[in-house]
Amino acid sequence: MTIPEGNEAQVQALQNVDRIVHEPARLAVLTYLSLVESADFVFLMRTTGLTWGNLSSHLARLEEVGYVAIEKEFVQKKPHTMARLTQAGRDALAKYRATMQTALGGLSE
Amino acid sequence: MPEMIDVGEVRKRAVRLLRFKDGLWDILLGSVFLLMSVYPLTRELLGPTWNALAFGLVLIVLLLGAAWARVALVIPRRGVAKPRPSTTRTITLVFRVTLVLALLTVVLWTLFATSVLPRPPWGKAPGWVHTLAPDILVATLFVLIFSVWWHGAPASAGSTCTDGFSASGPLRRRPSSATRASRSTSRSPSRRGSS
Repeated sequence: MTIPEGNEAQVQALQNVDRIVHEPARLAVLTYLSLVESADFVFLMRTTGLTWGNLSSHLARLEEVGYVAIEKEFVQKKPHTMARLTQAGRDALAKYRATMQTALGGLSE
Repeated sequence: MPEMIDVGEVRKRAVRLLRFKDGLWDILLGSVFLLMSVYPLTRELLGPTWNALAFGLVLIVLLLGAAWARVALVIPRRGVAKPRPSTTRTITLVFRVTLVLALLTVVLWTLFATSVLPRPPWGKAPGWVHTLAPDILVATLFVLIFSVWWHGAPASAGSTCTDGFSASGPLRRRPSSATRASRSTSRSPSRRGSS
């Protein structure tokens, strides 16, 4: 199959998209974290609508690549997890946004 | 999870969750209006000074109750997020102006009351100034207390562990024995089927 004339740049941009950010659940987590300084696990769970385990695994993946920093503490003897978007995560989100705008914005009908 | 992510909507939702969604602010304002409705009646019974003090005490109890509810009930269920500096900049400015004005009023009032500063010519002042003087002071204190409370001090309440607890990944809730049992039961047939 050949790429339609004039859409090579868009297709190339889509091929270079960051797949860590591209996954919808992780994109939602990163979007929420980009709007606040830091948020705890319960807040993210409620806002994204993800289950405990699902959010936990996505946060672990994001932490693994350095997009999210996770701090653990005890509040009144109960464990409390705070997640914060790192500068790398912020850059990755901005780059993803630019990539998607390039890819989809200039796509011919 | 929602299929569409609208960044504007996400931003509004985050701010609503941070500030207003718990309903405590509405309950507090409602309580103050309720107190104000009986204020003239109790004023006749107790006199202006004692009435204002009683009003203040009730309000402090309400504020403490709301702070407790926020920490013990709302935060564990709704979670907590710290807003970005750009979001809090305007709120902080309003808070600081309110704080300075309220503190100035209290300080001036105290200086006049203790005769450190020469008393203003009260005789020329209208009658309502004499009558409502304690109420004005207490109202100023209310503004002060509300400003401090609303600024979110209780939201960040908590203690940080320093006993070396650290984990590399996010918390994983250990499933209860009942959950584990139901999982193993539900998985068994599919495993048998696949093999």
